[in-house]
Formats: sequence, C-alpha cells, structure tokens
Amino acid sequence: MAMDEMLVKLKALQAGFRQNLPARLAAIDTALQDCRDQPQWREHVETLHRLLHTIAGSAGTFGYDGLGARAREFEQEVNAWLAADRWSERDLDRLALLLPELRLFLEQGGHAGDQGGVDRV
Amino acid sequence: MDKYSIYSKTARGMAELKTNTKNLSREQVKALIMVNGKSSIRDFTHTLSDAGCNSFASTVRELENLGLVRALAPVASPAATMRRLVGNEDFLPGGGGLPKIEVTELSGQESVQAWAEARRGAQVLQERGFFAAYQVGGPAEEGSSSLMAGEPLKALVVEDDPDIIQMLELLLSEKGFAVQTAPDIPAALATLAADTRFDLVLLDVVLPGAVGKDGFHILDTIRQDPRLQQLRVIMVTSQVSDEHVLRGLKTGADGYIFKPFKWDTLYQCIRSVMGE
Repeated sequence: MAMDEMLVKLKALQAGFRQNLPARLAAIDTALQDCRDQPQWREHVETLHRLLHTIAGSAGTFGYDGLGARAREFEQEVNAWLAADRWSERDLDRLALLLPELRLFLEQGGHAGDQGGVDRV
Repeated sequence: MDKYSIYSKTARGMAELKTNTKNLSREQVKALIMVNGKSSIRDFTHTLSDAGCNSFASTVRELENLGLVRALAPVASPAATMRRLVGNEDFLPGGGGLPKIEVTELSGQESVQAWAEARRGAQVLQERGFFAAYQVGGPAEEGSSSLMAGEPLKALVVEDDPDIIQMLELLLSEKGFAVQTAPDIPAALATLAADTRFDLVLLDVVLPGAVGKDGFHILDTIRQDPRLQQLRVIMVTSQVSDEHVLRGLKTGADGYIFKPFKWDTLYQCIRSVMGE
C-alpha cells in the first residue's frame, strides 16, 4: 500500500473517531445518569469506568491528547471508588459537574491543542 | 512558580476531595482533581491562553498555600536540561576528573519514597515521549515463528474499541499480517480454540463479555494451552499501573504497550517479540 494511500485511510479513521466522539460522550453521560439514578448498583459504575477507560486510551492514540488525559483522570477517580467499593451521591454529583469538560475539548475545535493522530502513527 | 513544576495532592488534599470540598471554589476543586503528581502546570495549560495559564497557576498556588497540594522537584524543560548537562564540566569527557558522588544509606521508608520519585520521573519521561513501552519478554528464538517465506503472519487483535480495531487492522495489514479481530473475551477464547495457528495476539486488558475476567484471563488461557506455546502476546492497554505490568509479566506476556500508543513503538515491539 502506498504511503499516500495509507495516510488517506488513517485520516479517514481519525475523522471517523472524531465523528463518533459525541456518541461516546453521550454514552458516558448516560452511564453517569444511571449511576445517579441507582447509586447502589456497582454494574453502573463499572460501565462508567469502562467507557472512561476506553476513551482515555483511544483519544490519545488518535491525537486527542488533552481529552484522553482528562478522561484518564476521571477514570482513575471512578477506579478508586470501585477499588474501595464505595462512592457517594456527592461523588457522583461532583463528577456530573466536571464531566462536561470532556465536551469542551470538542467545542474548542476538536484537537484542543493536540497534535493530530495521523502524525502519531 | 515554574511552569514545569509538577504538583501532587497532599494527604490533606486527598482527604479534602473525599470528604469535603465545600470550602473550595469550583476552580479550586477542578484544579485539585487535575493535579496528579505526573503532569506539570505546562502540561495542563498548553491548550490555554496565557491568561488561562496564569489563572490555573494561581489556583494551584492557592491550593499549595492551603496545604492541599505540594510541588515536587521541578522538572526542567528538555532544552534547559540539555543546556545544564552540556554546561556542566563533570558530564563532559576530560572535564576535570570524576564527579563527586555521595552515597547515602536510606531507611525503608526513604527507599520507598525514592522508588516512588524514580517511578514518577519515569512517567514524566514517558509522557514526554522518551519511551512508551515495556517489552518484558525476550525476542522469540530465531525460526520459532511459523512465518515461512511468502506466508503471511497471522495476528489476532483482541480489543473492544472499534476505532482502535480499525486502526490496528489497517496498520497490521499494511505490514503483511493476516488480521482477525475479537471484540470481547468469549469471542477471543472461541477464536483461539478454533484456530491455533496465530503468530501474534495484541491483547487489551479491560474487555467486556465475562464478569470478573479480563485480558489476563485470556493470556493465562493461552499460556496453559500447549498448542499455543509459540504464540507471542503483546498487551496493548491503558492499564499502566505497576501491578498490571507485573501481572502481565507473571502471566507470560511478551510485551506491554501503554495506550495511547504510537504505531512506531508498537511495531518495534512486534518486530522484537517476533524475532525480526
């Protein structure tokens, strides 16, 4: 495969990732709302953790370093809840206040200062 | 305040977050959560304007005055570090003899602290792109791969993120691999049970499909199966704690790559574990 063709395909993958980001963030919002509706359900918190974990790993790989780093911090906080098997409604409320920051990375032009995923690969 | 200073939460800061943040402003709470012992002020604010950067630095200073965060040893910019190293005669050949080295015996507690500082330093290096991978296994013995001239290597990508799957499929295919994918634990186990002729598995850790199990369960299954003895396994994961890396090592992973990853790093690891 020629390098140009490869780059075109990688650019398309990056664009696809960007296109899917709102849906990913919406899924995180939904998971957090599930946690707030039923705070005693560990499964909801595990789902929230998995979604944050996934976006933390993939965002940076596609060049959205800032988004990935912030998602990682949220993930680590939720992971600490799971490790201690304890979280409060206050914890969930606080996360609900902060979580919209992830969307800011998109509203500020997508890359939020990141260098772009194709360069990364 | 140096923009390369790294701050970590103090015990009081951690307790404040867990129990009571009502005395803090929203900005202070946000900054306290963001401070992580790994990232510098510059890391947090490189996307912001000068005003935003100054505001964040000011908030961190407030937290420091409140005893909720503390500055670790400042990390100089790479350019400044180079200047310092080059400018120090002790580091240059023929520059005035051997440098003086002081040796201090550490207590157990100090040793732990020193180890933590070293670990933190390694993380800083990693974040600055100096390294991004641990390759924990030796390269495969020459000829142990099933690769024959003209025969493509077979790779299985076990990953639940569809975007990462597509990227790895594309990049591996471009390097001549025949690629299959499995998005969860049952699919991965079923694929490996049905076809033992894979050469390489890229394996995520956090995977859906089996309560209480993860990618290490798949790795353990591979290592227990005599038919899969030659299979090379590289963990490609966001699980970057020492505990996870050690678990990968103990369970028999050949390599461990942290997400987010650079393709060059991953491919270098692949070539190494495949004995190329």
